[in-house]
Amino acid sequence: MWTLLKEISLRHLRHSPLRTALVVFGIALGVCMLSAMLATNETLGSAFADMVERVAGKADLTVAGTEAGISSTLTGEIADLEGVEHAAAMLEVVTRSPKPGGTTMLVLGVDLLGDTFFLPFAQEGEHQVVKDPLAFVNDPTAILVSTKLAETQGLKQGDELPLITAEGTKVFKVRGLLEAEGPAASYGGQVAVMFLDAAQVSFARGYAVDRIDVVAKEGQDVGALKQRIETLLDGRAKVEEPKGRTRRLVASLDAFRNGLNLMGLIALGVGTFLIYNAVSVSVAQRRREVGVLRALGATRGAAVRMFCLEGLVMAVLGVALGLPLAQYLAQVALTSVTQTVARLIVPIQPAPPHVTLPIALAGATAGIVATLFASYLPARATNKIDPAEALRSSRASSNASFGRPWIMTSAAVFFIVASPLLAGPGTEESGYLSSLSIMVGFALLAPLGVRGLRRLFVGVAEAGLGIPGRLALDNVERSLGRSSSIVIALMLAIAMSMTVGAYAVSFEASIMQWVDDAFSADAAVTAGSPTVDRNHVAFAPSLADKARAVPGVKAVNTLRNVSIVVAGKNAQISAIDTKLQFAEAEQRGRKRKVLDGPQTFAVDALVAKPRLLISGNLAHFTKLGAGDTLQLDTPSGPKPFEIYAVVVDYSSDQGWLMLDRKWYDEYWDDEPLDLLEVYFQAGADPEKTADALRAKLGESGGMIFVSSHDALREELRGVARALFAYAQAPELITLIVAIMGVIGTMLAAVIDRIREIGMLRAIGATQKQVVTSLVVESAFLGFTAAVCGIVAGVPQGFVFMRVIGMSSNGWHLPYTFPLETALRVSSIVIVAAAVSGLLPGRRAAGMDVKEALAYE
Amino acid sequence: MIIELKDVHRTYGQGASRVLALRGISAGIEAGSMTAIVGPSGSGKSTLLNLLGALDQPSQGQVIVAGQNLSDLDDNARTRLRREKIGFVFQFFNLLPTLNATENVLLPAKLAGRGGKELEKRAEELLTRVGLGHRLRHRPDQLSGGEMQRVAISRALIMDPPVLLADEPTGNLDSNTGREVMSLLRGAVDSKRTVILVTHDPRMAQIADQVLTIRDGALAGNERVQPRSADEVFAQSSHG
Repeated sequence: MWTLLKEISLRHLRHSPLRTALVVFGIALGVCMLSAMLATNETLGSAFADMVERVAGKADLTVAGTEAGISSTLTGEIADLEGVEHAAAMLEVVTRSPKPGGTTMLVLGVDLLGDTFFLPFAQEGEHQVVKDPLAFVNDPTAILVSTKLAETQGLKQGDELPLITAEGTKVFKVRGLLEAEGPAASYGGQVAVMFLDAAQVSFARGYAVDRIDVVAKEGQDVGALKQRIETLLDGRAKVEEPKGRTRRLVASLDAFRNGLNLMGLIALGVGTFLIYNAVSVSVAQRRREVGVLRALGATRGAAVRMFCLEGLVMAVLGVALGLPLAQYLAQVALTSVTQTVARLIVPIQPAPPHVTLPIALAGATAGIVATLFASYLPARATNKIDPAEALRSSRASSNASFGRPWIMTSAAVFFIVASPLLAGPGTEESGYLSSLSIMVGFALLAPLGVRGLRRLFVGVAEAGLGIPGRLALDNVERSLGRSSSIVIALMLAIAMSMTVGAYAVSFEASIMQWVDDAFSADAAVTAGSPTVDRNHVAFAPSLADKARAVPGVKAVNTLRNVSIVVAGKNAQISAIDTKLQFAEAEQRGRKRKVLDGPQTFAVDALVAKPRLLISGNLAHFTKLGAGDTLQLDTPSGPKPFEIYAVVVDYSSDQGWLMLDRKWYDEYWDDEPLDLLEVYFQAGADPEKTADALRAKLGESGGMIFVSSHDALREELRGVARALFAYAQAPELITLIVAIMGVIGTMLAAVIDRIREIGMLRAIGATQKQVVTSLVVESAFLGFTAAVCGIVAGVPQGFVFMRVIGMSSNGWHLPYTFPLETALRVSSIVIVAAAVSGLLPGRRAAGMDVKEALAYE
Repeated sequence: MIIELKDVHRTYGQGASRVLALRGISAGIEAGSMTAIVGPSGSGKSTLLNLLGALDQPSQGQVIVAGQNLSDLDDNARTRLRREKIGFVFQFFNLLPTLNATENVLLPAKLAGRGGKELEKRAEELLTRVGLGHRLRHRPDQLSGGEMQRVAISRALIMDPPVLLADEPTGNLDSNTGREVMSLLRGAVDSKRTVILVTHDPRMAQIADQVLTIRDGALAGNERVQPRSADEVFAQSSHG
């Protein structure tokens, strides 16, 4: 076996450097993408876990409510419970420096006068950070910063640190530096610590805290203690073990992580295809060699093993190339994903990603297994080689054959028709099964597509490009097996881009429509960020009064947005003066799209009784509709709300609810505001009024944003696009398949047609005509794949949106055809394919005519 | 003389692997004649045919085809020369499988950017003349070996070239079909057209006006002979 490898295989690898490079690149691509995505996912997950676990530190249990927090008075009640050793409250606020481009940081409010067990710094000894705790708690501007934050901001003890607070920009004094360990090392080490009361005042949190950490007494059963605390809380907050909180937070990353894993798997699949393609060509072209080996006594198995071993050698090279690149790619991917995750899900600052040994082993194993699989399939064809026949026939052909057209078409129709039935149950799994069925169906139809398009365009090609154009299209159909295999690979990649593209444009279109329907105000006021995302900072109610006093302002509505767990989802709850909002919306002719319930809202519908508007996706998750009752866990305990209507809303993929300020104030007792909806007086100049608002509200700093309806629209468009930024990856993969796949396919085509090319040159074809013919053939392969991929992408997009997406986020998005994606991806593929045809074309044109004519 | 060979040498490779394929060949071929190049395998027949067909260039000496010295021509000029002055007939026919008989015949014209009804009519006439009037729209896989070679001869004639080169034109055909093909080639010789064929079959040489014998790369014979008809030659061989 080793003799065959050494004497034959390795020589082939050396003598066909381009094909060897194609295979090695294919493996490297798969290994690199898979390892990079695994590393990115692991780093993201670790960043979440690290954040929770570092902050939770030594706690056995954590008591937490919604973002509105829980009452700090609960701390004492919990501490008094039997089995509690320590209990301490903490406030967590993400804020930022008001400087342009200032970084975000996590501010922890801790109680230096309470149980100091959990404090993230030494209380005594030589590492004691706060020398005089009483002086510290009496100074509302006193702040401790982590050494990492000090390094980033260039701070030292005694320096001033301006921060955006609920009442504008406030300047704090650095009173000490914290070692980057425990909670001070969370959030990428960008952490500051304040006295709890000072933090509550600065961030308008009243008497609320975000968490109470609890340590059980030695020997105390933690489960039993949890039950005791739950009984005490009576639904006012949740009790979780830190690992449970980690799990819930990490679960909110699922969509991103699944997307990243999918990218890695697609890349591995594409790499496998490139290897399969290259080995198929190699097997076909070495048919005679296999015949000789068989005639000389090599067994059938030896020939198969020879090709598999060749694959293994290339796999080792591919892995060696792919793993170092994975480290770099993971860094790029993490930077891109972190920005979106930090803005929309949880503020994190992950550590640099590392392709760890287990990830490297997983990537290498996947690469090697995929290579052996992709080599074994075509290598099996050597079993069918009859030595006598192989020795008689000198011509190589790398063209695969297909079954009877009617069988292929029937099977294709079967799979496509079966796809809606498979999607029936509406689960994510049934969606993927349906999607697979569509792809199998279209793959089976690909040869028919190649034939049909060739027949449709051959006249145009000949009229426009002369006989080289005609021959190019003829050759595509003539090598139907080979053409179809590259068309199928490209078609799948294009269909994937179309699917993601359709989702992205449908989502964007829906978001834009929703903003127009739901947001009737003339301007929105926020702090820290133009939208209510994880970068924004809540402000004090006094800001609303200031806004009301600005000339030209007719009314100001105040919005508070906090998270709430409903049916296991981290849903968003919006509290607002619904009477004002409904009245203004009606006056301005704006109306939310209602999915269930009254089509027109009574102005005081949500004031008269504890009622809710809920989003379509929350209705989907809870299986509830208008008229049903939904019980919400409020800081005042569980409260029943009637669902007034189910509306279209895209605030959160986890679900959204809206209630009136009246009920929020009553049950939540939470002061801060997240957004002001400002209505201008009739005839007021919108620009001038907005400028006046900026001037008035920005007086005390605080990075205030006053966004017009259009500006808000554009901002949300940007957010929607950022969500799908990673969707560019399939296009990159498509480009790689186009280039590598077409080069491989066309090189094989040139080898198959050497004598024919020689004949054409002999009877008068110029070098340019030969190049033109091969470039047009390549471009036509790209064009056919683009047409098939775009067509296949439509039902695929429907399944993705209506089944997979629906089961994941519950959003019912109307399908929008992604014209821009279709044009962009098809141009990329056609141009890349045409350019890829240049190399084989030039090789063919440069052949010695007499040698080509004598080629056996 | 339509073709002149002056002290033609052709070598391949360098140093120890240098092979002298042709050594000092000088000969002239008259317009309107049929010349057979004969010799054993590996003697240099095909190398000489490649030079005559402007597919290759001499390492030394001159090859003058239709008044043009090959050494003075670049690749494009040689392509033009082949397109306009030379017709090729190959042993393996080399028809394009996706084109029908008429389209295959029209191929050189289309490569030259010519086309139209008139040329199509000429292609059909040529095919009819070689007995394929009923096979005009048939593809190569629907034709017999002899029919394919007749299509190839028609293709070689479509541009009306003064020189027709045939490399073992009957090498892949049975005796009867070979006779028909040789009759056609002989028929192509007229005052305007010169046919040169390479063969290792001594019977073919009897149909030619001139026989060039190549041995070990050198010209071992250059005879002018009285040609016999293909029917006569093949009839004699079948009886003998």
